[in-house]
Amino acid sequence: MAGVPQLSTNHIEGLTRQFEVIAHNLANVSTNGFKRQRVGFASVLADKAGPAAKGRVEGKVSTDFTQGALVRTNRPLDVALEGEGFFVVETPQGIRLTRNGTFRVNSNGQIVDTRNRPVAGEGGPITLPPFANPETVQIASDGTVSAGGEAIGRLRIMGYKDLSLLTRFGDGDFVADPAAEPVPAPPVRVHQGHREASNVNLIEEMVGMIATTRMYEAGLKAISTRGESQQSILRVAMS
Amino acid sequence: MFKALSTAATGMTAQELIVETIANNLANMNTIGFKRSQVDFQDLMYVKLSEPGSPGAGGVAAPNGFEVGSGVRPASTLKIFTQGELENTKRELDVAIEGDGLFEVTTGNGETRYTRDGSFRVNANGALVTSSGHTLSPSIGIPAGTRQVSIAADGTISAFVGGSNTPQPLGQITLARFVNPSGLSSEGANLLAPTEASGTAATGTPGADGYGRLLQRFREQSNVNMVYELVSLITAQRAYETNSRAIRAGDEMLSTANRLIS
Repeated sequence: MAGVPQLSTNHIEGLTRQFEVIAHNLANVSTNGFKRQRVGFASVLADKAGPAAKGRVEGKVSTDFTQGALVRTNRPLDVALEGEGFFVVETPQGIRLTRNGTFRVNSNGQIVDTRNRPVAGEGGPITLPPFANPETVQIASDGTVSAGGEAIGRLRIMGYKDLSLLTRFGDGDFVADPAAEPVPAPPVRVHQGHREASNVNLIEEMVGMIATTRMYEAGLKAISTRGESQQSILRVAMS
Repeated sequence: MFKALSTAATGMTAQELIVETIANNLANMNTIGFKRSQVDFQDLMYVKLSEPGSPGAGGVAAPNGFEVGSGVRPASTLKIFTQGELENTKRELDVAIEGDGLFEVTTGNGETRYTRDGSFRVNANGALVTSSGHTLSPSIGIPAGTRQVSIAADGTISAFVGGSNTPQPLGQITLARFVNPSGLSSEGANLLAPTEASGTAATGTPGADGYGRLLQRFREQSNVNMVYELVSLITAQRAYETNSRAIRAGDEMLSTANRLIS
């Protein structure tokens, strides 16, 4: 008998999480290279996981890696990827992956990301020749960077067979699990003068938000109905 | 408890910041030599409710963890140094830079600043100054009785003085360049100050070694594109609305829960 309220509270807990995910997606509608999160729910099979797990609902958040729209900016150090792959950024904690290619140069002429971390090239960070104008840097569709007509490096782009093995770290960073198997030549095209917009679709998120709110209301209704019916049983018994 | 509310609030703040930046860009549409700014955002840290690999449904290790994000934060504003359109003003002390480089000026309190605004004037001492009165550096004096000033593409400046028919050389305008011009900090009044991020200035002759060339009787318009800014403004406004919707929906959910108790 205790199963119903237990089930409903789990359900409500899950819907609250789902709502949080939607709010996070909406907050990042203007974040370059952002990939939306989605939630999937699966009920726990009581007979396999034991009676204690009865009515538990497992939530699963995964990242939706679909391509974001490419927005033309004409800024030479804005590069966007088309296809499955990531730019690589070097940090003291190891390499980080990102889809945000709004790069700049630091005071040493090195190409860096928005947080001043060097962007990895095939042979280490890419440095522009002294006082080369960042506005005249050319980046080809295979990631080759040239300044003044001379190739100075090639952006390192990594792809993975199983994208579900990537963990998010905030600041647009992804980190690959050591078990993730890299794809040797990821099928990507580099677009210079473009940014990849967030892949959050406002309408889709709004629909999800309405559905979640209504389901949440229904879940609470189930709890209160259950309480009322218990009360009426008590009344019958007492009279 | 209800993290969604604060998450949506970060989204609203982000859109507000975009609108502020657009407003500043639009307000400076007619500012000589103005370079538009753009805000960059990053997603905030993720709260891990369960680690990947923790026991999940049916006792099988879950392939994914449960990470919920907590919103967005502004990462930086970036100055976009693309060339503005050049407008022919026919004024002989209007100088525009076509290409890379900045004019170096000395402010009233002796500090060195940089600007793209080459709409010069002559002050009471006969020195070439910017429209807000900062002296061009190295300083150039215009003698009294000057009939005509000519400024060449390489920055050499000469004048016909009095009744003389031979031009008298007055000096040389130099340009400054930075490794990372986007790292310069805006000081208002069209002035940019060097920072650690921009590196130190290198000065050189206009038209040589990658320095831009000078065009006399031209002014550089701002590089603000009205259509682009207005489209961004509409998008920002709609995104702001949607984020506020999320707050309202979250509030409704909480109030439904509250009604349950009564």
